[in-house]
Amino acid sequence: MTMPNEAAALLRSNRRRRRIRRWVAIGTIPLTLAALLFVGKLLSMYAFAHQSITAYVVDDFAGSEASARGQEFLNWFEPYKAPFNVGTALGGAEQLPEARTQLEEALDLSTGLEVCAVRINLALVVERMGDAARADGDGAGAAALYGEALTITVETPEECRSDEAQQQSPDPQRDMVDSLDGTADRLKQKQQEEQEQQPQPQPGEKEQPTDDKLKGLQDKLEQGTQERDQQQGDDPGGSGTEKPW
Amino acid sequence: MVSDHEKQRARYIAGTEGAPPVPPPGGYRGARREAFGPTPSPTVVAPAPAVEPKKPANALGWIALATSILFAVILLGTLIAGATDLLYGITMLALQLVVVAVIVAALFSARGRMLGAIALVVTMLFNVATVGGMSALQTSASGNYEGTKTAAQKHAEAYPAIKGTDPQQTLSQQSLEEVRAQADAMFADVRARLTEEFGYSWTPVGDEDLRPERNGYGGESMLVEYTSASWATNEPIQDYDRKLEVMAVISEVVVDHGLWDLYSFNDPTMSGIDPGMIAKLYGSDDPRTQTTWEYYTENFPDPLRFYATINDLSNDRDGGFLAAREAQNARTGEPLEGLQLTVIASGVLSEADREEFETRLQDYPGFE
Repeated sequence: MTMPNEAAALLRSNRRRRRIRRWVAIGTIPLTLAALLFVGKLLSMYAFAHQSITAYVVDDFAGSEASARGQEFLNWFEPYKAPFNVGTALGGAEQLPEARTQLEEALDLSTGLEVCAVRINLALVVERMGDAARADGDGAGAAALYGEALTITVETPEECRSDEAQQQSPDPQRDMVDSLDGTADRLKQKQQEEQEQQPQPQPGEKEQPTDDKLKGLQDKLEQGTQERDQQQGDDPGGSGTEKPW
Repeated sequence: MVSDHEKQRARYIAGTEGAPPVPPPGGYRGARREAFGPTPSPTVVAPAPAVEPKKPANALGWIALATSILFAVILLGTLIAGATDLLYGITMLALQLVVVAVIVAALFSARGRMLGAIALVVTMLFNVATVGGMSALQTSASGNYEGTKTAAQKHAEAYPAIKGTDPQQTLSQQSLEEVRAQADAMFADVRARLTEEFGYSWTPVGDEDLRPERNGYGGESMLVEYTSASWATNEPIQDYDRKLEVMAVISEVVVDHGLWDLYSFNDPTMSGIDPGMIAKLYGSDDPRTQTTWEYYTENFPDPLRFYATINDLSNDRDGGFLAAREAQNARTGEPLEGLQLTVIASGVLSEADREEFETRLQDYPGFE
């Protein structure tokens, strides 16, 4: 009578083992799906970012934005990159206020050296908004925007001038320090030009140019402004443009 | 009719009453697992069940394996070639789907399942997404994003001038060599005047820098941004009136060289910069207490821009400016404080490149 009992026990244990195996499989389905989703998300980040950049370099700004939007889904890892890439693409497409909104969101989401490239592109976009205001004859608005862009540039952390920051730059063919300094210099000049174009009586007459001189200087500055507008009109930041990540 | 009970009994072998039934053909399922210790040997030798000869894998299994390996090799070759765009292209995606379809078909085939599973592992490791990701990382590190440019875009990419700038103006304005010569002459005259009037001595700072300028069409132009080596006084300049006198002398010299009067970025009564920003940039919105004075002028429509900067540590209230200057000193070796002179010129063409510039421009009618 012992042997049949052992066989029955064996059968029972096999059945139990099968049942456990089935439940383990069912129980791990969510984990498996989560793992697949995780891997898929990670790999898709590279794909969308690459597509966004390659579309940007061939001036396909709509394609660049569309690819960058793909990064927004489950935007858990390096979350600043999605709005940064969207904002940069929108900036390329001359949708400057929308670009600014996205880049400001990217700035809020970025940490450490991530802020460097975000600040550079944000300053360029705001500068271009100033250029647009100036072209529309809104000198005061332009000066205010140049001031905001200058603030964004000046408040860039000192760490952004380090070699480490340069290594992480999305535009390794350009020196980040040069980009920052160039933007700051340009913005100072533009603010100065706006002030010179709207001369107001100031104390300290000794330091003021004469009327004739001021008129000549104004003419020159207007001419220079027009020329610089032409130079910088079609390429945000001219030689200092950053690319999406 | 034979009852189930009789069937069970029939499985007993004669003369072995009480013995367990003979295992079914192929043995009990899982009976080889010895979870409860070794099973007792049957007291009676049962006829060994017929062992079916192992059937070889079918063609589908082999096709799945070969296809997955071949596709992995193609992907890795593309990775080595750096063709990330090709990896993420529609062709590779279509091929990847074909490979997956073949593997799935093999997995549903009993004789192809083993090789199909191996192919699946190969494909999980090397597929468009994983190898594409590696290639994207590689491209990101190199910064070499070619994209899929059209022939027209590639042509525009080689435009030698800068978009939005009249190339004829580039040719008519000061060349790189002329800017350099004027900067050197101006520096020499400023140094001589300031030495004569105030007794300053001088130190050259850094080296000349030529930075290529982008053309606005995704490529590099033939123009460069010139940044001169700077000149710095060895002596500090801390007195307010002395600073004004120094800037006045410099202004006279630069006007003699065809530039406009110097104007101040740091003085709120003259500067177009917001006072709050002036305080941030120069340490205070009062020139008497500022750590930095920055004056500027240019010779528009020519490209030369002139900067005169005075750094003054006596106005450093919290040590932050000193730390910044020390860091700068460590980078360039420049004096911690005093006057510095620098010239920058954007979009200048070297005389040596002029002929090539004009020749290449002929390929770009209508470009500006």
